[in-house]
Amino acid sequence: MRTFRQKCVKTPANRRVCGFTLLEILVAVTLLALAMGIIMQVFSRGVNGADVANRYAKAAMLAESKLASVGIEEVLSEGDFSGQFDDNFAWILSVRGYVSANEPPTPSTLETAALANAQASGSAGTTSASTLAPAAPTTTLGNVDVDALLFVRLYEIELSVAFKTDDGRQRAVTLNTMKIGPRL
Amino acid sequence: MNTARIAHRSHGFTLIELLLAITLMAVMMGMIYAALNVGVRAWDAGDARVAESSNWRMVERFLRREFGQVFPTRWRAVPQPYVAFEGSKTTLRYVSALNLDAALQNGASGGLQWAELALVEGGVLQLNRQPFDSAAQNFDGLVAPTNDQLQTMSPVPPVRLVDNVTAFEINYFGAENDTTEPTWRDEWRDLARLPTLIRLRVDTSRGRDVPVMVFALKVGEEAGCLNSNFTRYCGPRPR
Repeated sequence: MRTFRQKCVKTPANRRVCGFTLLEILVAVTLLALAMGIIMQVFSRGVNGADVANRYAKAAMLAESKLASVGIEEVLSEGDFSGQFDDNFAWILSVRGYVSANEPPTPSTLETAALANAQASGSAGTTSASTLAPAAPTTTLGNVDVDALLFVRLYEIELSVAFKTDDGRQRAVTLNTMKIGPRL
Repeated sequence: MNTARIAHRSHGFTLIELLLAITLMAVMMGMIYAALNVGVRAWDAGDARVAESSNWRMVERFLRREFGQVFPTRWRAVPQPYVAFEGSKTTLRYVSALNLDAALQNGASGGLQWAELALVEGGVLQLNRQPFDSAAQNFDGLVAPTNDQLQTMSPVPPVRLVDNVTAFEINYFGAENDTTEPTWRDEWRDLARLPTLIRLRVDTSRGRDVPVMVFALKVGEEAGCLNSNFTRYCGPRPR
């Protein structure tokens, strides 16, 4: 309080003039700048949101176009593929043969290895071996596997289009579909 | 001296102080206005971009539905059974299932329609449609209705898809027969089968980069067609 009073200067006309200290001015300016910054941020958030929405729309368009040409431009085959639309938009395509829910999955290499080990070690593994062994396909006509006679089969296709927005976050649009392709 | 003492006693502002304060205030208001103006303009620009991209999305959905319904009709009485599909780099003519909106406006109950996708004057990408004349031998009967016609009779109104188009290109993917490898082409006419994909590149003067759009033709030539791994085309079974 005393320091404040000391800042007051007496003029010849017997009037006390009290000004602001530099510190006070600085604090006030900083507060103003902060307030302005927050206001501007509100604007930029809106603009950024619009930009993110735009990129999502573009990614969806790219993904649908890519999905339309999958299996037509190139022969459909199982595997993972990837590529780049442009500097910012990249795609990852995964093609898997469709396994229906009532068809038992084929044992993975790990399971096959475990199976081989179990069989080699003796009788302990033989009981589990029967459960792991692939069962007969459900679509059979007598002893004939009908599925194997078809030239085509169903493929599950998953396409992801990944892109980066200005805030540095990686975002993606993922589309899933099924297509008929050759049985290889 | 007398007035000065009164002024000091009433603790008022001098004219200079007032002017200075007003000037500073004006400068600050100006700066704040400029800052807000920039913000509002950025906001508007974002708004316009969202509007444009959603418009593109709509155009894409519309064309995806249109091209998904391209119908493999063949012209009658020509030396070879050419399919009713004529495409160049800038114009595309095809026969497709009549859209419900068009059918309703035309009093028709359904059937097929002629359609032409082309750039008309003013840089407008437009889709002209017309009910299909089953006796037709080619697309000559398909003409864009003039403005007078639009006012008097009511043909199926053309659809204005995109305006301010600066560049526009159509490509076609497919194999012309069972022994050729399918490729992208600039032209598709006088062939016995439909292409399998249509690719569209459109640039507008607004300069937003619009992705290249690829559309698949979905209507097969016959039920139980045989899909060829070589041509990726579902064609008729050999008899």
